[in-house]
Amino acid sequence: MRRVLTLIAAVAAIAAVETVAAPVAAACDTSYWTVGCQFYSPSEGHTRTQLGASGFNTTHYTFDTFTNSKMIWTTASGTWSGADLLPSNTWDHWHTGNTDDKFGCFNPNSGTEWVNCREYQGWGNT
Amino acid sequence: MSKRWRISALAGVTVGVAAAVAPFFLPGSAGARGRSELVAFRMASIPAVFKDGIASSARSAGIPASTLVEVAPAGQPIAKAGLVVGRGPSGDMVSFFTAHSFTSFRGVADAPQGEELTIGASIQPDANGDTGHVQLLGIAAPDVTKATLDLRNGATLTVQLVKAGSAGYSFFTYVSDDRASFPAVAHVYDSTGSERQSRDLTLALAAPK
Repeated sequence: MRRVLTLIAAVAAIAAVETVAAPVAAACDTSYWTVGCQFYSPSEGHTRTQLGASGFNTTHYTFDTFTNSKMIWTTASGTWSGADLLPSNTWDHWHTGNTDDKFGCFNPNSGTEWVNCREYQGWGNT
Repeated sequence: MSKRWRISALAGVTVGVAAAVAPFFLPGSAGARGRSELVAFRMASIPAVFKDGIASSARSAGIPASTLVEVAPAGQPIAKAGLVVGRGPSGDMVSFFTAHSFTSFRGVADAPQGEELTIGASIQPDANGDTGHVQLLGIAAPDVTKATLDLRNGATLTVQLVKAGSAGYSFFTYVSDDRASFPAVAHVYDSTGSERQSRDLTLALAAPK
């Protein structure tokens, strides 16, 4: 009887993990979310060097938990040059005039937040 | 009444009126902040690289150019930031733009994601790396009739709500290059005076460093 209960518990646990992990894995496709998808601690940001030498570079993010998050623009050395506070699932097309800037995402909130963040060249892939 | 007296009186009235209304039209002045104007997109003073991008994004979204309007901070010869609203195949759509970027159009009802107050903002650093410039862009739900900003200096400013599109949403802008007048909290109210939502902006507008 104990073995049966253990087996049932194990199957239930595996099913629960699969149920939670499946949507997370689908949402966290790093071939799409090129800056990454991960938990951001308060004041944590991640960027990626721009892909185009000129023209537009786009940042796209989704997040939850909080109402706000930020897209950021930094110099090549990481000094911030600008930031845009925008709703989740927004495509923001930067045109900064430099060739080695970085773009990415930043958590401005007081708590940890899951952020999917993507950067790509151009602005047409929305 | 002598001619000299009439000229003096007229000059006095002119100076008085000019002094009274000037704050509402001077760029960046306390009076101009929080006031917005509605401009046909083809007439909008948006930097060409972004105006072209916004126009192209609108075409991609199926928005006729004739429906596009800009909500911009009043009194600025070249808009640092604003919103562009147009009528897409499935309803009103909106794009935010700043001095360095613009966003793809999305549904006006989609962007707020159920919230009464949606805030977009762009910030840039001062010489010390702190937030030195703020451009705030707001979308308020159809039942909102008033929006105010609590500023860091303790003042409360009622910002002008501008209706655009046909979905009933209204929009506002606020720009500041002065830390004392950066917004700290935004509030929106309905016609009964009840607060519908507020948003603390202190962390949101802090430097990302």
